[in-house]
Amino acid sequence: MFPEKGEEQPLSGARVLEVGNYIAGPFCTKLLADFGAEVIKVEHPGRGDLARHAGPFPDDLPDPETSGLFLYLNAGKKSITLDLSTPSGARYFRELACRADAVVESLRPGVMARWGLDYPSLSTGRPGLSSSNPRLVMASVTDFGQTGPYRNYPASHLTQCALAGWAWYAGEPQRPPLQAGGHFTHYLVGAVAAMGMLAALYHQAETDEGQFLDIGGLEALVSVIAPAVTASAMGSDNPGRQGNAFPGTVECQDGYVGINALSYGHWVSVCRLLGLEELLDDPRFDSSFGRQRHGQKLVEQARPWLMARTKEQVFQEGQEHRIPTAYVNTPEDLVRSPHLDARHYFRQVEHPRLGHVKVPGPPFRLDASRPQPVASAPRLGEHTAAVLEAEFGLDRDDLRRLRAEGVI
Amino acid sequence: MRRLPLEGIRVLDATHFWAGPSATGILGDLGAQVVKVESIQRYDAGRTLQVDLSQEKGYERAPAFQAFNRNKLGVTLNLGDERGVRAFRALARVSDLVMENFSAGVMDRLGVGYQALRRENPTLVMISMSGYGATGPWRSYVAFATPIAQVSGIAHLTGYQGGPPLSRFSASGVDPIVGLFGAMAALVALHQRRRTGRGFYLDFSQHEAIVSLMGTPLMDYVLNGRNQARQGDRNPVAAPHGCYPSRGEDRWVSIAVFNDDQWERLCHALENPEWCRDRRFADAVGRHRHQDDLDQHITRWTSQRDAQETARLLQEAGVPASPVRNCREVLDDSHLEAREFFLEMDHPVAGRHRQPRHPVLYSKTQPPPPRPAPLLGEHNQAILSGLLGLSRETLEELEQDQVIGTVPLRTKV
Repeated sequence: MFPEKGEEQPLSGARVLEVGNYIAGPFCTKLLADFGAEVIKVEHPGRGDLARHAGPFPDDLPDPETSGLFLYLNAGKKSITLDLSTPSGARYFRELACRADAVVESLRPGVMARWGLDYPSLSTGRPGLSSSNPRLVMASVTDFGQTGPYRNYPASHLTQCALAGWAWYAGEPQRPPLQAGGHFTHYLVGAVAAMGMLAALYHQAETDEGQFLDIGGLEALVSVIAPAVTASAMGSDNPGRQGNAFPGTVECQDGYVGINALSYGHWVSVCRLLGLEELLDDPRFDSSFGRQRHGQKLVEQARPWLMARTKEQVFQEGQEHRIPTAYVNTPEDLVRSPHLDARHYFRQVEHPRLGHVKVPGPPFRLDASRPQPVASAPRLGEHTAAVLEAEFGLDRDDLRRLRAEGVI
Repeated sequence: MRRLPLEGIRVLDATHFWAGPSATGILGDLGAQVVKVESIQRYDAGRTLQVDLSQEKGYERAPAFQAFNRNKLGVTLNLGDERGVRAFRALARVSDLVMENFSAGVMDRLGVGYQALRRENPTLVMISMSGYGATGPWRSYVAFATPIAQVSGIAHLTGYQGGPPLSRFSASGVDPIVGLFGAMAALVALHQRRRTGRGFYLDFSQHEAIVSLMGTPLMDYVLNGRNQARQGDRNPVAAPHGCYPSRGEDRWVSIAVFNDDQWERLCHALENPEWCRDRRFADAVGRHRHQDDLDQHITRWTSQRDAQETARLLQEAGVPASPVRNCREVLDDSHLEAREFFLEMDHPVAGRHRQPRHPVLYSKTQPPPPRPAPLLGEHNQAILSGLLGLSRETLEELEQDQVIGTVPLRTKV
């Protein structure tokens, strides 16, 4: 069951319908759920969300009910199945939308319209979702937005890194440009959508007015490189790929650390820490440009010092000198981080099949001292009967009929 | 009349560099009145990045400063002077939200920490965007964008197979991403305040915001004890998947094929060369296993062609592909142009330029044309007299004593 929240949360009482898939849409509604919204995930009968099939799975055994990615993104949500391409599936969805505050969908542009489920229904002439619920906030989260020449183009994390002006700058000069690690761009697009939803829901709370949000992933990704794009617009070129140029990451006894001497003050502290004070008299290191250009020399001379220390030691000793050192955390380091542990960052969910599972927490919390409990991710269609019974008074015969027709 | 979501909300903005100002910049786009506080003793270090400070008023020209501070009102207050502190507290009295990203303890030391400001205004929300948060063993540690990228898992996952982790994963690093989450924190906090009528302190950790984007690798460790490693441009299930050389100097095209349908479309677009019929490439598992060979075939094809044309050909065939673009090319994008993604700005010192707009299109509350970033101390009079009611004599005295001003005391910070 859903845990009782001790105190009202920022979005308590808000009901959000999600027709999401994989990461971007579900991450958006996950963030809304993190802050108290009731999220009803509408999945396709039988198949469900792609993230159920994407893993990681325990022991790499695919099973739509044990995907780690799905668990992280959907913990605390409800799941119902509805085939929205059927008239009765679309009707139930429309009626649910009348009783909801928000809808988040991440299907290809035009798909919701085909089913008469877009915001104002442009395609069918039937009333859209907003005509029966004018205070509804609806967000469409896609790779390129609802308009423009690329709107029907397929995309992936890699191709978006390339197109948005990210990959060009990552990697070594003579080698191929690189995608960012992880599925970073998908999460970011979801985060932009959540930011927009929070704004529109605030507006809704103040004015009772609904609206439609068009979120194009490419725009989300370009907006977070605004400094570099604006620099180009103002005529100054951004340096291209520089590999692991100083201050990059450097190897130590058990992994990699960042020394990160960004200012001259840091540089002085770094030279003292490493016992390389003679470099302070070397004019090549007087400017940040020079330090970047010749930084490899420091790294070479520092090698014995670095190889005699663990990343934890380098980090701690550097921080004692107020140098912004960091160690390159691996996933293992993060899951076992004493700092994140002291801040109760990770949370436990009780999964019916996997038992206690540690999942990353929300990106920030209103009350950091108290970890919020969270229910497990729903099984596919786990709440179909409960939601349809409670909302529409359907009985077991109705449900049996809908199941036979493939609607649920 | 158009009403924006945060109209009527006043944000007292004590942030600097990139992460904080990009957070409050988003709030400004959403209609909040953002009062940016700097001082002539120490102006926002964001004014010094990517700019030649020896130019006339160089500190008004930094690109990121322009991009992140549009729509804000600029005030200078020396918080080392008691009168500056008093004015800051008076601003807190008439604000809804204070945001700051100083090192832990700095705001307290200056006399403008949460406890002091709460006495002025119990409904005030204050958000501190520190590197590691206000509690825990790393609470007082120094952090900037690069260390946050290293500590939070992105650097570990970005890089060539077998190579070192790379801290740089895009043209701009993690700061504006942290800023996005900072804006989100402000919105969540405003929802909560609206509900309860009470103010509070929100301890925001940049580290945690970025770790929350690492779902798959973290869950793989939790479930399987596996430490995912750098995989260059490859993907565990897709092939071909990479950036392939194209005609010209340092030109590349990215291609990602996830399933049989996309593979068939790719082969068709390439006019079915013989190697497409190689039985090893017939299914996804085979393509993935033999991707080194596959990449050689693809490379031979792409390197003869213009990246843009290759991408268009493949996209029209339904295969995810795109040219690898630098920021200048992004500025010339026809799709972004069609979606009016770039704002035309005209700044009195930095001049005419374009910058990305707010990333969301709203049907009812789209931001109006923005004002450019404020000049140093540009709105001293409007805010200190207009809002706080200080007399002209007081302002003159404050200016005399360098508590306020419009000219920096030194050009470097």
